[in-house]
Amino acid sequence: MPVSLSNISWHQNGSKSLPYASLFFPALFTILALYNIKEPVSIPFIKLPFAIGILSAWFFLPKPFYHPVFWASLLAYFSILLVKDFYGVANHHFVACYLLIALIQYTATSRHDDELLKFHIRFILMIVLLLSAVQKLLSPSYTNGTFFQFEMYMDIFLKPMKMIVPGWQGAIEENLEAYKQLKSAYPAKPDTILLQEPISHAALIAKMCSWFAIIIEALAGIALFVKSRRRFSHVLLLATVAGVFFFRQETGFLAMLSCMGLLLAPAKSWRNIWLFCFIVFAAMVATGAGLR
Amino acid sequence: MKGIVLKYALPLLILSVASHQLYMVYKNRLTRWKGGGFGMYSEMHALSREVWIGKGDSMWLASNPKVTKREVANKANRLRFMPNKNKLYQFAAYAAKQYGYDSILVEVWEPFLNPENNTLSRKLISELQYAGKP
Repeated sequence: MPVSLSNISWHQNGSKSLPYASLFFPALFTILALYNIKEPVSIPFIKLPFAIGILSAWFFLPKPFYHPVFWASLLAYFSILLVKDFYGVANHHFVACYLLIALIQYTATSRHDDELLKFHIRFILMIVLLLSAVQKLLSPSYTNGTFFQFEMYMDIFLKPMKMIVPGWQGAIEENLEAYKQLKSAYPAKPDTILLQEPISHAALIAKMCSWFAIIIEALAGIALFVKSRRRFSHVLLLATVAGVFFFRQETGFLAMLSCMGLLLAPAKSWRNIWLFCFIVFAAMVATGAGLR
Repeated sequence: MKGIVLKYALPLLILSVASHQLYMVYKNRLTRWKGGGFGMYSEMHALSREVWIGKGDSMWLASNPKVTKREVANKANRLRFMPNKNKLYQFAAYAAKQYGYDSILVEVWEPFLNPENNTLSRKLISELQYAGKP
């Protein structure tokens, strides 16, 4: 008998208040798996029993994504690196742990509390975006634009501009070469180099971009917490995601944000947008085209 | 009561981690990028910092494994994320022992861009003269 895709059980698990939960769970699992596969600091023999536990839970439990043991095994796996290197892991490692705790709470109760999961996801999204804005506000080198300008001059931010602005590539190459020369000598000697502007008024552009990022991140964080089902909140989140992607291809982090957007999507159109974003970012992590 | 705990335990945990990270940033010189405070891309990355060690008249880049013992280079790389006095002292003691020195100078430098004239230099953000264990 032919099997229709719509008959596969995980497509039917979404509840009325969380219609896209059935997509959120496998998406989150995919990005967490990719994140770990791409992890540079590996401690395989400590992680091995947990990895076996996760895979066993995945294959043997009837609905693994709705079982706390599955998410608890993943949390244990993630906690190893967190304990080993608390001040060294990426910020989205923390996000992963928070999401896993929220999912354990959600799946551990006999009556899955959709509103509780939604509250936790909204809170995580808000805190990630709002804290990101607050940290930028507290950093003098960010608010005066010099951090942004340095990243721009050193080919870290705005890489796609090479294809748009004539002369950008040449200026960046000169800057990188000059910086390499500067770093080769002990700093106490007179050592100032002149950097080339890849675009005129670079300092002003850097300062404006810095403040724009702070405002959008703060607005998106607050809007998603207060009105997570409003399309406007998702527009702000999408603007943040697009901005981060354009400045720096932090695809692992963006895939996690897309997952959370997917769970809170107000309509099918937004479900499709977040799913598309997630697929692109996850594929970039998997192929090494983006950062994990 | 159980419902309140279930609802607010996770947010409380997240806020505690974030508060701890901010405390570490201001009191222990942790980079904003690390520690779960979501301060990525808010300041110069710690990897752009340079750790120089030596005797004062002869200094070399400790974070470069080509000119430094591998373990010293690894520890120098870690030092860049939290260059406070305590970490500097631990690193200096380790490096001095590795090289058989009685004293050693450790300096951490960071790139500094002047937006007025587009010039880039480096500024000293942390240093310690280690003169053996007291």
